Amino acid sequence: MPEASVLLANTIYGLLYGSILGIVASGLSIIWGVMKVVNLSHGYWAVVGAYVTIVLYKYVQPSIDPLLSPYIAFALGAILGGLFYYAALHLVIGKVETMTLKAEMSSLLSTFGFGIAIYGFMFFLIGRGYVGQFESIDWTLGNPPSIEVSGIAVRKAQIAAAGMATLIIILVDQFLRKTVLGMAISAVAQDSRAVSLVGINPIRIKLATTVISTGLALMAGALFTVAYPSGINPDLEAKLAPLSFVIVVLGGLGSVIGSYVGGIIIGLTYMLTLGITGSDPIALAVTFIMLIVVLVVKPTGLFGR
Amino acid sequence: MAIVYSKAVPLGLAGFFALGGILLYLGLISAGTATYMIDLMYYVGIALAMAIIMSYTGYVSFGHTVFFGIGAFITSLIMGVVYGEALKQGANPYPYFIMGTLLGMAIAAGLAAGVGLVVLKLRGAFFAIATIGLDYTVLNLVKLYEGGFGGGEIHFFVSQSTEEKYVVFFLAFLVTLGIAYYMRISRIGYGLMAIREDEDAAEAAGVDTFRYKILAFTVSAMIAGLWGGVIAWRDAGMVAESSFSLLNSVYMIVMNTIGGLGTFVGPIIGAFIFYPLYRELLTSIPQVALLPMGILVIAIVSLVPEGVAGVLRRWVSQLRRYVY
Repeated sequence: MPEASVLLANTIYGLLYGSILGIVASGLSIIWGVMKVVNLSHGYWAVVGAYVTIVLYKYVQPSIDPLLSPYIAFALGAILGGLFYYAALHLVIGKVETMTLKAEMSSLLSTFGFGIAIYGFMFFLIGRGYVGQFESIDWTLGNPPSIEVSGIAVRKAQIAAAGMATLIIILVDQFLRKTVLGMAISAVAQDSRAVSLVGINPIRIKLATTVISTGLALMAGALFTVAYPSGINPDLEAKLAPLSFVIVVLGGLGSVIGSYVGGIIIGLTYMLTLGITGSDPIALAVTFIMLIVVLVVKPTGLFGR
Repeated sequence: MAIVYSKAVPLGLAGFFALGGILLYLGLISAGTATYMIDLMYYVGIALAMAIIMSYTGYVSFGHTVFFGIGAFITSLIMGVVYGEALKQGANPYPYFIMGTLLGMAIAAGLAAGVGLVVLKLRGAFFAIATIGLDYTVLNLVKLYEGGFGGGEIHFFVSQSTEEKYVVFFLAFLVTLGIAYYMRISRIGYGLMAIREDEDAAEAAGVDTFRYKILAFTVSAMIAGLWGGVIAWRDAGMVAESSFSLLNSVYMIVMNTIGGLGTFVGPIIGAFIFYPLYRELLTSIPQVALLPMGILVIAIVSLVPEGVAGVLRRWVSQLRRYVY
């Protein structure tokens, strides 16, 4: 059993990592909970967002502070989300009132197609030399860049990113609960036919949901780079997407608070297992076993409807 | 039964590749062409493996590559670790290859049956995600194996001539084709298709859906395991990241989707469209090919969901005897 300082370190890192994972998962939770679309492109969008921070800092003149990138990424994601809705979703589920198995599988496959297309496009850009396959930025926050918590060094950038993630989650949750559009979106999640009966156009809502979800995905990716500014590459999707699915299922579909809490749980599980066993594969295996367990035992998750 | 299912496609396909083998033996085709056909047999093979659970039964096993990976891993363990020394000294590799592959197939089938008991209770997308979780779990467990090459990597000594590769791939292909064909035209196939169309109605009509699903998943996994073993033999080893890579599943799904779900011929057509296209698009960076592939998948799912086979059946009714 490792000593207390290692456990403390991994707990702190787990909380920070978990909040980032939580916001990455939140976009997926929304689109899945509201539209019943299992968006297999979600992870790829997050990676796009991660690259946004890199590109804005490294390749754009004047250089843009990574702390601003998440907001630019959100705006970009919102626009791309509109495109994504019409390209991959509208024809498949636009007019569908209740999701049948066929519609669900079709949207699964079409979002999957879009996802691998994004992945291929990234490598296309890499091949042409627009970005590197492995990108890092030599940016730090603060001088000195770390603070000491009970003898554990924690980078300020990570804290900033985690803090921003937490605030944004709260904001999005408030949006979904208190604003007219937000409530309409939540309503569609419950009964889309009833929504159209009271005069709200479900297609508009689906579009809005996709826009917000994609915006969040890119924003979360950008925040990821703020916290972990090295080693950004297209295969990061393989790290983020599967964990996002675990987190959404754990937290409950459609709940951003659920995603956040789920993210924290998974982040802690991963980091502590890593700290105790010292093995990255075991830590990952444990989180994926959790996915299967949750799917079978309580598929609605902690905060799910 | 009003519709007679012509055996033309499976026999023609077997004949086509048999002809290729004969031409190779006679020296009438180059090694390059033969290798192209060998790869094509592999892609049709894995398309058919996936077809049993996806095209016939309607369950999209996104993590299906896990069974391929298990086949590769077990075969590599047998040939590289257990009998590695013997092979280095020049022993005949075939007994070990067969042993490894059969064991790999059995373990893949066993895993499918075991996990299937649990995950086949899940609908649609949840099943798909659970299989992804399974793949990542097994990938990470395999990566714990340290064989001296790094986590989850095994290499061993074997080499084959193009002719040998052709024969082995052809045999694996025949087994795959035969099993997939039988699953389709037999009573099991009717049951699976009924599950695909409407699982609740099938259950109500008396189809033991759970048993059929387990059977389909197990057989499908077993064939994936077979190809895993074959590829490990050809490549003289395996790398976990590659053998368990979801890219393999991507190809299987793309071929099934393009070709047309709910048919036997569809995935075969899908493979014949996918592979040449994939080779054409292949540049120094193989992942770039996924961009047009992804767009193609979206186009098919949105505009032509029944796939090429479905279109053929709909427009040319005379083809229904052949395209099923």
